[in-house]
Amino acid sequence: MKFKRTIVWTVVITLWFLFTMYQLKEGFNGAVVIPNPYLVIKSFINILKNGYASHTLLQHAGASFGRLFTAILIAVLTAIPLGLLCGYVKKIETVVSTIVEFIRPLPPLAYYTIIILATQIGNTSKVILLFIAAFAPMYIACVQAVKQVRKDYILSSQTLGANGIQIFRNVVLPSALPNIFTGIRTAIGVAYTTLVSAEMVAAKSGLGYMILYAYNVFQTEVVFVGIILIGISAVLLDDLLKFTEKKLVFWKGQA
Amino acid sequence: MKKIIEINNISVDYDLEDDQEPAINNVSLDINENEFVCILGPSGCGKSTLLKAIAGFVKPFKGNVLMNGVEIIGPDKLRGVVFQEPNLFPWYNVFQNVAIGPKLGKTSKIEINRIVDKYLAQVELLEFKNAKVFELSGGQKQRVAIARTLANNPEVILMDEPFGALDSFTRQKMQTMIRELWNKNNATIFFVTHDIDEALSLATKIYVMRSGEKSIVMDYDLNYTFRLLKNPKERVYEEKEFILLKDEIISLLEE
Repeated sequence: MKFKRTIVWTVVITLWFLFTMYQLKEGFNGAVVIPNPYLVIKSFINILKNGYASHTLLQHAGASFGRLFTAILIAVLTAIPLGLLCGYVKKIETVVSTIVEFIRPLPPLAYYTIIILATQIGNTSKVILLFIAAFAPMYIACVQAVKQVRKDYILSSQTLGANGIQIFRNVVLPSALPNIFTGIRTAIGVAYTTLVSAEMVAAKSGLGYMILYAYNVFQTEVVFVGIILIGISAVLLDDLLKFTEKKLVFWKGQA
Repeated sequence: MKKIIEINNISVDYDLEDDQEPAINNVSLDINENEFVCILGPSGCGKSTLLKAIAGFVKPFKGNVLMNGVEIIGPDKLRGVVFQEPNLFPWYNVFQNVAIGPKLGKTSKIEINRIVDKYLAQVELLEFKNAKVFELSGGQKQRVAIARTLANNPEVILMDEPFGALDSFTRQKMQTMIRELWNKNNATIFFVTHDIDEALSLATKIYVMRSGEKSIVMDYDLNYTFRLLKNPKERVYEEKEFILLKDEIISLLEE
């Protein structure tokens, strides 16, 4: 797995390099659509040293990840319990799912203005946007998780004397764990894709903001730095989750 | 002999709306203390449905099932169930699976340890105490499932073709083991099978169920199991009486 990934990346970077070779000389007139790797690395080091758009790189990254993690954490704390509950109680599920299924396919920018009007342009509006994006995948995964619990596991636990709460703790929750993990991973992915949208309006910092700022001044190499940082962090975060899942849900695929 | 279960003329239909005939029709029988009752019949005769009705997994639309004089309305710990598929919880190891009943019953830690050790020893799996359940073979899993049920000390153990998925060699060993467990623990067992030899060699009482009637058509009192308890090597299978009885049941089921 790791090995194959390395090959893919080597090929991609080599192709990128070959494709952009003719731009090796600096001073190409104006902006380029795809800057060469050298320019991007140079730009990265420059931003690392001097910052960009009146913030250091660490401040940009910190702002973005702060928003992302706050939103994901709130989503974990709300969507998972609500999803599990809705898996149990059909009536509540009908109410919540109807709303979630309406909001889920909406482009975040469509309702972003409303959030900003309601909460003003501070950090809260951005966190709320990311939270809404992360909520649906986690919620849906948890509802499904409860519905998919093997019936005979529940019957077994009942014949062993388990009451409602004990069934939940001993059977439903561990059964649901693999799906919950999938939900969290999907949610993080969706939240990431919303990051740039969230920092599009009235942001002062953040990787998404940095990208948009660079776009406005035609510095595509900075756009690339931002994209690569977001991409790498997303892959690393997903790896971390996969690793945790493997440890925690050790029986997945085994039984 | 104390009557534990009393089945009064029950009929079970999974879907009352459809035109199909009920899964079981007008079944009546009693299960007495320390009996080893076998329900013998071909696939589709309703024998598993009968077990589910006793367990409380399905409700008869006619008649009732009483346990110690009280109507059974749902699954509880008085009736332990061993399923055909050993549905152990993969997120728990062998010890935790066997301990689950006593743990739910708020038994002390020392007592739980004693109970688990006792029954794991009885099914000869003490050395697998800390194994993960997906590391076990099919026969071992079923033995853990049996230990899990015994550890909860139910008044009657319901077994739904528990050895059906095992190879014939393992099945024979398991039959000897369950006979000894039944005797050692003064258990009462209700055992569903389609295997005539299995029923004849284990049961103190056989009820024969037929697909046509979806009901019990004949019953036999037997003592082979006591003889096999004294001498598991005794070749009762070759006795004329055994063979004649077997032929009688076969012709009964062929009708």
